[in-house]
Amino acid sequence: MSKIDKFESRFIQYDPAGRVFRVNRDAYTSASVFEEEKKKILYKSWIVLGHESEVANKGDFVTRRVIDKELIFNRDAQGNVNVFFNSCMHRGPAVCKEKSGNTKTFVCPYHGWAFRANGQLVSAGSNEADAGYPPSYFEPGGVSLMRVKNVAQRAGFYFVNFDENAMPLDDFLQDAGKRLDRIASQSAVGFEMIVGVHEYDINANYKLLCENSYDGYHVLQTHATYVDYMGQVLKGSDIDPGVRGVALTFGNGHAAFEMPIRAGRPIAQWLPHWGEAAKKLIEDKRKEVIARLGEEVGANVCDMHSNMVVFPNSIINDQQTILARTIIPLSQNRMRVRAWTVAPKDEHPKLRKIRMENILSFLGPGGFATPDDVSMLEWAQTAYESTDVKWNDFSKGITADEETMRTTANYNDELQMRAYWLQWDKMMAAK
Amino acid sequence: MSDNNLKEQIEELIYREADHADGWELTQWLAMWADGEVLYEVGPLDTPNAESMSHNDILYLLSDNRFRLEQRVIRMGKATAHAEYPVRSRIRHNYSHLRNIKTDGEAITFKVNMVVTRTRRDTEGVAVIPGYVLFKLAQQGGSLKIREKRVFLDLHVLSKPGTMSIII
Repeated sequence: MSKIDKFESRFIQYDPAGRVFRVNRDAYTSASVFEEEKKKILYKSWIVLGHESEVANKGDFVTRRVIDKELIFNRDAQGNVNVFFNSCMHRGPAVCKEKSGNTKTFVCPYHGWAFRANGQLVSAGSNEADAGYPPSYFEPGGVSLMRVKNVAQRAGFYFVNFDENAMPLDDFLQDAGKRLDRIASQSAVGFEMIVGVHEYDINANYKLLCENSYDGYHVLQTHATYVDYMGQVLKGSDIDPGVRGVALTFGNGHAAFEMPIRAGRPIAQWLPHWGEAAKKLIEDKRKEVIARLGEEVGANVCDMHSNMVVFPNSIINDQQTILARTIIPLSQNRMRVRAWTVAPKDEHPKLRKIRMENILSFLGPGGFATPDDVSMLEWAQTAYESTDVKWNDFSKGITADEETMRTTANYNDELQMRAYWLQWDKMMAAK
Repeated sequence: MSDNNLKEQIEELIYREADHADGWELTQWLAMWADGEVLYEVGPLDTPNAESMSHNDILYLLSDNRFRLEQRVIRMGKATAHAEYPVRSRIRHNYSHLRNIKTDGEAITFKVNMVVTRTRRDTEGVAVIPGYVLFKLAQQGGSLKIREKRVFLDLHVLSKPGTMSIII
């Protein structure tokens, strides 16, 4: 897929020569469309589950919801990573009630069925109960927690796919995989998960947050107060406060924008109020990255930040920190956001402190930017549901001969969203 | 200062602080803070023992030093702070169960339970935000000022609305 002729589908009006791209608001408001997209898109795509650092040691586990499935993500005694549905194979309750921990077995609270960390049933609760079942139940290949078949990782990010016939993760990711590799190349020794997750609900369709997260166009308007704040932060530095950059499409609906860092970052942009000691540490970090990756790639890793949407609902932002926002779509007009961050394992405490402070000023539900984004999304959703206006406009920057696969545009055009919606529309058109 | 007298002074201060927050009297609210470095923060949700861990190590919902606190108040006063403009949340702080009052030189620390109700727009209903606060006060110029306000919420998820665009 590259250049596309004019077409009109159930959801999209695309007229490259007329330079118009519109999306039908039913895509955000219809309960039946939401059910349809679960089957055709959400259960057929690779969705970010978590990070390898969450299950670094044998026995480590986390429990988590992906789309509408409750899962256990763990590392077993053999060192293998597993993802199971969190339900006893006997009569159903979740076998793990804790959000995270370390265990050799998962025991159902109802009748005591116990499963090893590799999923295998070891006991039905007592010798008496065990005797009531065929011995094969307790042998390898016998009863086991039900495994999510498609589990794969790229650059430390673990994904799941609920489709029996899922394509390999790397094929799905296309060039988005290279972006994940590039983000992970900030550290030579790997990453650790920072304790504390921002979890919050938004009364809007999940696609609105995807659009918002790599929308360069809204920054100066929606985030006027944050731009003012950054003006104060950058006083006395020689960093250009202007916003500029590019939008990049990666294939299969994945896309990002990439901009020069302006808010400072441990890897690797120093701000004057961080002091001289931090300056030396950040300069050293920059040298290390460039020595390892070469001048061109290294400078990109150190000097640019990017916001990426891995189609259809995983957001990986490389901003003040590496921040993932995984979205649980709760209904057509409500989502739960789970925002978490990873940082280099060997980060100097001074740089870690800078990272943490930097996160808090911008990101998250108490930051200086996210509440305003959330308001925009909720106001949009409300208007979709309570007016007769049918179409959203994504025409900005469109050209008659536009390609939407693996191409580059101005950061504040809407190419990235057109690429998303073309993929979404294509998958919804499947029988 | 007798214990009862101190307790009364503390109550007077936190009720005044709550009234300024609830009334969106941001300048007066900021003026209740001590000179010098301060700490205003909301701990991470659903994290055991969060109060014993620093915002330098784990991800708080928000954590302001003096600079960011002042910037927060400036931001909240603007028409471009969209989340609370043009109609601001109606909020009501309820502090109770004041305890663990300790004095250490010029510093006074205590713990107080908190329920904040928040009503925004006619479609969202009333959000009830329960939690507790660890305060640290400083004696400054003969009066008590706020040095730290650390809030820990009994919530798993921030919801209805999912943002913290008020003074909590």
